[in-house]
Amino acid sequence: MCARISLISTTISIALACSLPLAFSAKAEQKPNNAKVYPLKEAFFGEQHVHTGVSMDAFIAGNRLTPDDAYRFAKGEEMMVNGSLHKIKRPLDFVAVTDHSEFMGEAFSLMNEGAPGYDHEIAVAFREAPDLETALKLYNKYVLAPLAGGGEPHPAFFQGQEAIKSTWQKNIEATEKHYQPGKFTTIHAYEWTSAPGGANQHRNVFFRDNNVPDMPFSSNEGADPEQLWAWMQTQRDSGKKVFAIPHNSNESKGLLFAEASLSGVPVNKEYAEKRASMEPLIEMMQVKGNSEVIPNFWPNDEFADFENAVSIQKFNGRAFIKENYVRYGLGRGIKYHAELGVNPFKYGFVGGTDSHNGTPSNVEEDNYAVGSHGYADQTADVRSKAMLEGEMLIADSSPGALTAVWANSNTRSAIWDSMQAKETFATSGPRMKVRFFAGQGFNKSYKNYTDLVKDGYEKGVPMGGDYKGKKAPEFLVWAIKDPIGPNLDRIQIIKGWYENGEMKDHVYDVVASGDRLKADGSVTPIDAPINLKTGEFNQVKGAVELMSVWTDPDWDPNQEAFYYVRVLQLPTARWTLYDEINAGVKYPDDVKRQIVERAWASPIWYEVE
Amino acid sequence: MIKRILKEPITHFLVLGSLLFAAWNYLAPSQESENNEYVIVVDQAKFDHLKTLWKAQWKHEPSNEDIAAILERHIRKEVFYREALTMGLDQSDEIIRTRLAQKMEAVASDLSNLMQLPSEQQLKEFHQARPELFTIAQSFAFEQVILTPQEAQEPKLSEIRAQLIANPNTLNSFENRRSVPNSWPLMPENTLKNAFGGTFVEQLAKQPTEQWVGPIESGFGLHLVKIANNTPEHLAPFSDIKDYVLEQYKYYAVIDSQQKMFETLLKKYRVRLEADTIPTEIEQEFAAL
Repeated sequence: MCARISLISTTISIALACSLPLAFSAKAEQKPNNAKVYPLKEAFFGEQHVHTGVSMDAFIAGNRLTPDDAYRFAKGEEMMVNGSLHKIKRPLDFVAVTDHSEFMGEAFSLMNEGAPGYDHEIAVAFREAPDLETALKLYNKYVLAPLAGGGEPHPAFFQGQEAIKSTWQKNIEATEKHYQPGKFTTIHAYEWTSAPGGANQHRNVFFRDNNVPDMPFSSNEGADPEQLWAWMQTQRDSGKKVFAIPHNSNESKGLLFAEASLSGVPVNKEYAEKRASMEPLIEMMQVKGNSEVIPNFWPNDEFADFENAVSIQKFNGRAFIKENYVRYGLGRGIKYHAELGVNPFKYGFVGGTDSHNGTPSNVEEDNYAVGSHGYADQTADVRSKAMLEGEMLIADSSPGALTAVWANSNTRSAIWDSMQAKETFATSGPRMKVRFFAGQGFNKSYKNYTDLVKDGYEKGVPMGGDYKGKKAPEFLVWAIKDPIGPNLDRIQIIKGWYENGEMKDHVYDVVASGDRLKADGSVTPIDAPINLKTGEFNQVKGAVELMSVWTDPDWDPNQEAFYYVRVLQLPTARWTLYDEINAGVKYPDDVKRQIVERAWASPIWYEVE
Repeated sequence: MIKRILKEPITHFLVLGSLLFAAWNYLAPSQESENNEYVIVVDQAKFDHLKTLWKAQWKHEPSNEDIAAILERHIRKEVFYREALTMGLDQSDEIIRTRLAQKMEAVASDLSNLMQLPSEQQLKEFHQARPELFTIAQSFAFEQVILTPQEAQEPKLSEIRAQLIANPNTLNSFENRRSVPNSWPLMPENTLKNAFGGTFVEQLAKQPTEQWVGPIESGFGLHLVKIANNTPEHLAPFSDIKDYVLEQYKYYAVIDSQQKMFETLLKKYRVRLEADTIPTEIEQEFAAL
């Protein structure tokens, strides 16, 4: 099989397209929707953040895969990824391809032979970059500098808005073609990429159905999130359904959970309402790190040291500040609610990869042979030594995270609606499942899973909701292991509250495998190391399934609070260890070989009215 | 023989290809037809062609401004192109070689796009020729219950098995344990491996059908299972998956056509590797092409 780098349109074919019938022209397909319905909802696993060759930075790094190819990969097909055949072990339930809207027009000229601009010298240089060094120089000059707000936003071969529309249209067509209601859901989406002064403000923009604009809004039209929201409002006014998901708060230089808008106006009620309306979710983790917490500022959280991508602080003038982390943002959000009556950061959780290889949810630690950023990390040899330019040490990166959505069916509308309602959880890759309800009167145990879930919905609100009770909330939590992963260690509930002008948080262990949870609330650590020679995890210890009903012992009806769930599984081998075992490379000693993978379920809030 | 050749997809490529080039030459008259090499003629045919190209790309009529730009671009290209030819810049230029080669490869892709929809016969042949795309792995349909460690011990185990055999409703008292459904319609082994983990599928493959057996182990624990259907690996019948075969045919036609065209064209050439420092095994590999 030869590499999938074919260029579809030549000058000749365009000349004759009018005279010969195009046998394979895309036809608008009717999608009969007889998708299976799950009355108690099912967890669907998928990708929320992936780039194909349509994203210019991905293209420069060697990616020639299209959205069409990416959807095939997601369904489990083997694809040629940067010169190696690669596939994921488990197909996905849903995918959103999120190519950068910036430079989409350039992508059209770059990828379609015969298109205006194709033969421009810069376009040719991009296409023919023979090695990483050349590619990076081009990337810096034509992508990074303009994105950072410094220079002309388009390289000289850019052909104007019509080129942007053409590329977006091709993405739309691929997304329509692969949608199989009930089996495989594709979501129309893109990434709005603004990074003023290197401070990440990126958002993925998600549409509910195929009522989409003819051109996406990019940071070239407006680099301030408020401009993006204003554009989204005009979309909503015209009947489109859309929301945005910020990512990489860890690279935001404190700007994602800031005290003021990007233009310097202190956060006020209007801003808070707009943001809350536009942004129901936040990406917890991806290739460039986990944004939940870091040990520096949460020294009492013994599991905070997880895929923190510490080397990102060496680049772009970034530093580790508390304001970059999701748990801080949730706390600041309830403080804003106390101050303004609106919480602008009322975020549920999703995960993603941000892979620039066109490989959705390529998250398996033992299957990371091709990396996620083209030439930059495509072999174990490179990964063990190199940097991801301008970002981090590759050894610090992760294959990325996964999104799980509790939805009534595997369809666009059901998945989008549940995302909008924040009935979601993120995982660092594995497919454990988590249920989380807040209410009153739950049983201590249930005859079976069905009864548990029914009771959860009847007596409480699910993850992403608001607890409105007058008594201390009871939380019903349940989790089951990933069938092909190790057993579970424990379930934690993280509470954050606002007290006397201060944001506080505490990690509660609410249930652990065996009888390790002691009366004082602490848990005896589980000793289940991996086999460092083979990468195998411990098959014996831990629990297959955990459930508990936990009541907040310190509830105060006058305190704003959030509660979210963290499920920890037993340790497993990190991709770096598999590289050492499979490819014989050696990582520096301080690089982790073993990790505790986890799931984060969206918060439930208690707001003081 | 002739009939068989006419059926070969590559014949279609080549015939279509020559049609394309003929049309191209008609639409864009070559330099030889010009009397004076310093005249650049934009006749109606040429202008219409340029406009068609533009419209195909931008999906609307060009404005006057666009027409000026179209002409300017064409004339500029023509001037530089002819000067370059005069100076012999096309000779042994690596970039031009590369571009021409790429262009030829792209032609191959386009030909597959322009081809008529494949006939049923062609799809059937593709279905047979690419079994890896259409094979359904060994599949099972079954019912299962998850047992607690106590239930997996005798005599409780035999009791439960007897109840399941005597009364199918017994299944309900084990409903959805560990959130795993009790009834599984026909599913391929890879799906089941991912859904159950451990060595569940390997053990399932060894069990008889239509009786409660076990316990067998999965990532969730111990199960009793009753297999209703154990279907060995097989090629999905063409009639069941015709649309899917067409979809795959279209996708792979683009990928395969470049390689096929290369192989066909290569037959016109004799490749002599005369350099002394090429390793022998590689030389032999190429000799076998």
